Amino acid sequence: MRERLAAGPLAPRPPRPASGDAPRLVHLDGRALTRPQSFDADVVIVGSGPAGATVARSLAARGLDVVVLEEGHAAPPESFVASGLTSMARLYREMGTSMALGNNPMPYLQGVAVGGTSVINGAISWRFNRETLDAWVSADPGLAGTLDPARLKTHEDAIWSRLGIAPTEDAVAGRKNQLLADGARALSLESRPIFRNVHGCLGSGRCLQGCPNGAKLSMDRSFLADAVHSGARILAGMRVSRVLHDGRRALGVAGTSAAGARFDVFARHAVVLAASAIGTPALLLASGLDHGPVGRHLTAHPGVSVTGRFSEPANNQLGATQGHEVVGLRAEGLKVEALGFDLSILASRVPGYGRELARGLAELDRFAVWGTALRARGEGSVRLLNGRPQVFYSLHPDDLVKARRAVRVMGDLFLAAGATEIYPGVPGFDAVIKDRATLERFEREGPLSPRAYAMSMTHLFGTARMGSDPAKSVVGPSFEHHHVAKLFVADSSVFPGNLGVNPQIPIMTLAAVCADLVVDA
Amino acid sequence: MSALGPTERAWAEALFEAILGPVEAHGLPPFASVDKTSFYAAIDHAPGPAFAPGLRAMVAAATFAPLADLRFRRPFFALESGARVRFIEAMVESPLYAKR
Repeated sequence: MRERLAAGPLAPRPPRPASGDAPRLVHLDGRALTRPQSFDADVVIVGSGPAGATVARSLAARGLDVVVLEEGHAAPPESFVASGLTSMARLYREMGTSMALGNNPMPYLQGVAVGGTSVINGAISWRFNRETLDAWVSADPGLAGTLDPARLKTHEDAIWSRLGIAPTEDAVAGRKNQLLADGARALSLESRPIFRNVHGCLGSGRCLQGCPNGAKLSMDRSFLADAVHSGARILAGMRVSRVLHDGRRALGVAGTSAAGARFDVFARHAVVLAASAIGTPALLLASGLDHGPVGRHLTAHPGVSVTGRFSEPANNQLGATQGHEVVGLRAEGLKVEALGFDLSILASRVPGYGRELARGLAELDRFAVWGTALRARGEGSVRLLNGRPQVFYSLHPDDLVKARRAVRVMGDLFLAAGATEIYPGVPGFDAVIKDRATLERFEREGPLSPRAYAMSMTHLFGTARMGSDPAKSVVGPSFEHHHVAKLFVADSSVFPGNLGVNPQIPIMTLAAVCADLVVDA
Repeated sequence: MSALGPTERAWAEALFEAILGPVEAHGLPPFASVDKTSFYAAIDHAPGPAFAPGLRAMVAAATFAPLADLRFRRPFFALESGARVRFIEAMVESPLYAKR
């Protein structure tokens, strides 16, 4: 085995086949698998999102026989539609109705498609920040080798290059992003066009419904395609229900196809879990692997948003979905982003009911929504209820102070950008704000009850955390399970904490390190 | 299995129409004219197992809540259109989280 493995950083993009024909992305769709079947591979990877795709690309390029299992189906650009509701029904887990329960019940969104959440995210790209890495290593010096900044940078640079990550161009930013830039400039707050993994963006504003132009380099259009070029097999429509193991070593995985047939995949070398910070701990727990704090220490970036109304069209549904961000408040744990929605989703953010809502809907193009991701102190967990994962998460009191501050900051930005009315959406305070004095009062006197804020949960981490101590972590610094050999976790479950920035690239970076260590195992 | 049965759909549509208000007065198509086929198809098949019971409970609670309010004393679908809007607005402004 070892001779087949050329160790090293992420390999360059493999050459296309001489024939010029790209191989089919999906080897088998589970809708066609109607009878029980067994497969085998050197490495089986559960999940085809950024983590699984990165591991698949790296290992396949080194000559390993790789199978990637994905619960969703292939979602090519020609299948994407503008309707937010239809898109969510097709591409989002539970149509986006999944809820984290706690002191402020919050929805969370996950993509279910070949490419995972990368198919329906805003393509926002950030590198690891050094302070976070230093803090993690300071808390657990045993992670120093894995999190070596130079090692990570080598992988980050390769990912950055392959995904063509670049700032959002003015030509496709659209009015809503320009308005946020205007507001930040007027307030002297540091802001910038968002760096995104897109190529040839037309500013259609449909990142969250799947890019109809194929401009977003989601995993199915980049790393998974590369992996398939190198011989990896993607089995879509295959839901994994447990890890097969003998208590000491992982043997493979088992599950059910979309057509209802049982399947198993035996792994000669390793099993890699990349099923998200919810799916991975759920799979471990369902497999009887409840060692250490599996499912616990869930951290996140809860998001709070504010709606503003302009006297001129803001065209919230047009232009780069998320093309501008305010980064000057990151030290406070706040990052403000312009949000782009389908009109039907935007309509749900228009204030009022009955006559007032009808008036607002008639002027839908005047409304814009901006959001702030909070680097929160809250913690939660993932548990199995009736065999299904349930997320529990509660905000820390400090997070509510941040949420209140975020609403005030977004209000200031809206006013500075020329908005005539701001709708904080916080029961117990003015429904409409028109001046900075009221925003200042909001920050002083606004409610600090968790249920006063309509928030959503983004960017989940830590539910199979990496560490040196098996009592305090689930996998070791090599990403291998502390108690079950040849079982690796590659996704954001292993992160010791949250990041304060959008995690797609950091997830891929750590997954690339994981791939190196899978080879060495 | 449908998330809402035929009767529950009728209750829900009365609620939706009141929430949206008189959109036709602002040049938008009236609620009754909107094709809801894709909406029902989506909620019938895509959400998780807790969605349908939760939606049914919410629709039933909102439909019969006016019975317990001396200002209304009828199920929601039996209220005239102005009362429907007033009831919705009262629910939205409630200090009770569960009611909102």
